[in-house]
Amino acid sequence: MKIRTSSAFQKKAFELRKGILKLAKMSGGGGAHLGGTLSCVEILTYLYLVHNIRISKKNWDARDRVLVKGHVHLALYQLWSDIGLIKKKELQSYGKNGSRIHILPDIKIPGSEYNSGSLGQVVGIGLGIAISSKIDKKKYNVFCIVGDGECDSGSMWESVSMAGKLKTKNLIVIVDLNRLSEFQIFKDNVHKDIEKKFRSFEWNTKIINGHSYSELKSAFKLVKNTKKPLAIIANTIKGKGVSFMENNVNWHHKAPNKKEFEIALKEYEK
Amino acid sequence: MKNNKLDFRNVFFDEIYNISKKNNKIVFLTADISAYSLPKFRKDFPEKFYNVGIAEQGMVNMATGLAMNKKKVFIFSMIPFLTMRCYEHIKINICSHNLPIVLVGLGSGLSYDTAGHSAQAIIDIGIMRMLPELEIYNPSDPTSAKYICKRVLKSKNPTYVRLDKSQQQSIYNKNETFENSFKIFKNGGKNCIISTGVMVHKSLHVIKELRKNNLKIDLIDLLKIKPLEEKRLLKILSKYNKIFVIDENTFSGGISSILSEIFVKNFFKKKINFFCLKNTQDVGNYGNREWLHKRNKIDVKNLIKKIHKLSNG
Repeated sequence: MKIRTSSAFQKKAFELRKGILKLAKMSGGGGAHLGGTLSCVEILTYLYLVHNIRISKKNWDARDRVLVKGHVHLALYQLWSDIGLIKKKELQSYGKNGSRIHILPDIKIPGSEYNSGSLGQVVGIGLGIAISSKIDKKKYNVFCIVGDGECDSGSMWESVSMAGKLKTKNLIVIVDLNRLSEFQIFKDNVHKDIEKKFRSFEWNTKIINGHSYSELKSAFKLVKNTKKPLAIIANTIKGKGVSFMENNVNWHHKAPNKKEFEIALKEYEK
Repeated sequence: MKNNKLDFRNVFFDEIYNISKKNNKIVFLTADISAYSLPKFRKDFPEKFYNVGIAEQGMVNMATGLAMNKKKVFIFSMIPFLTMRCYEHIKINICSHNLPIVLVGLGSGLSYDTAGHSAQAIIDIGIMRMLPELEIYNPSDPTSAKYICKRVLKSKNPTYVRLDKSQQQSIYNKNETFENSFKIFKNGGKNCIISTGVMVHKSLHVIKELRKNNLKIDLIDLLKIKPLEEKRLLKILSKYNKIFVIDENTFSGGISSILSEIFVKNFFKKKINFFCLKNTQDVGNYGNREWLHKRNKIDVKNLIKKIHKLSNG
């Protein structure tokens, strides 16, 4: 499945959001992390379905690597099924006892490059993979998607610093900057602060609207041209697409009740 | 037996260097800790050597990514910073993926005698053995350090090697095979000491002195602390009357608690005495290793006195 147009992109993002809510409802929504998943939908859709990443069920050595904050699992499972890594019917087992499809993806699931859940780790792991590609003389890219809350983590910046020094040009970090973490609201110009940090570590940076097809497109164009590691800082809206979830910290990982689910789904179906 | 003293680091890293000439999978990361034998590795294998700076957690994560791509990664720092500072990173990134990364920790026990709380490593075995996938090695001399380097290179699991900062003479022959995880020094004794690392040298000293009093004592050197060959160890120990455990770690932080668990689990009823550090990070003011051993009553003189008395009791 490849998406080539803005309208197809928007349609897919809409479907994905709907699917996220349905899956969350199916399992009762515990641990669904709806807020930070809904903010990340366009970024993930662009990466997996628009950008020409090379990925397949076979874990061949030169595949592109995507290391994502596992909390966005409800979007990931659907995208992994879209590109044939897992079967669509497996999604029906989400949240059930014994299922491998659960709250934080691990390496048992094709598509997940690592056992996710511990934040502040993917840039370092990604850096190691990127250096491997250099040693092996293989050309592929390593994409790491982190949240803004994750950007508080010191171990992440240890790796950002190292990647800058090594000019690891095939390492790309995308920050899903939705301005809310579980227990804090970030200030208005946080995107500029985060950009400054990346730049001080000698990274290329690009600030975009993380819901815009054209802006994602312009940012992903830099992937090929960069001589340094690249940070795409994507301004997003937490809980995007559901009126009462947008910019509301309560929906970081809260499970909606039956009524709230129905209202949310109705918003998509009208 | 050789008389010249050698540095554990140099023996271990020289071995890595030599193997790297043939094995292109080896990558070495250090958190800004040097060793005499490292610069030549950096010079000859520039793409395989990275000094990440004082950023141990970043080093663990970088090693994870490299090992995921089939590199044999050695990571090197002082024990407290390599293990405790990075514990959760090691748990989830190295161990939950079961990556065969080698953690090389410098300064076992009171190696950093005068450096105090921050650098001493007297509880690391205790915390590291909680990681199910991790193997733990504690070489007692340069020969076993060299052998352990070869062994961890072949291991398919994550491994942790503790290197002492002191220089020591070899107690093993160059041709020693080290097939098992521990070695026995048989002297025809009815009692046996179990020890590990540098304390094996101390134990040998104690045994030599007691022999002058016609007291023969055997010795077991635990080179691989985890997993231990429990059955074999218990079978051997069942032949002895009394067992003395000598360790330069706290009780719960070292081999004492490991052995206690094995004994209790297997209804092993023998008289066992433990000589280890008190359960405190304050090992006793400023002083060199010998002085600290005296403070903690694990110096040779005290051990001779105690073991002599207990053996006759």
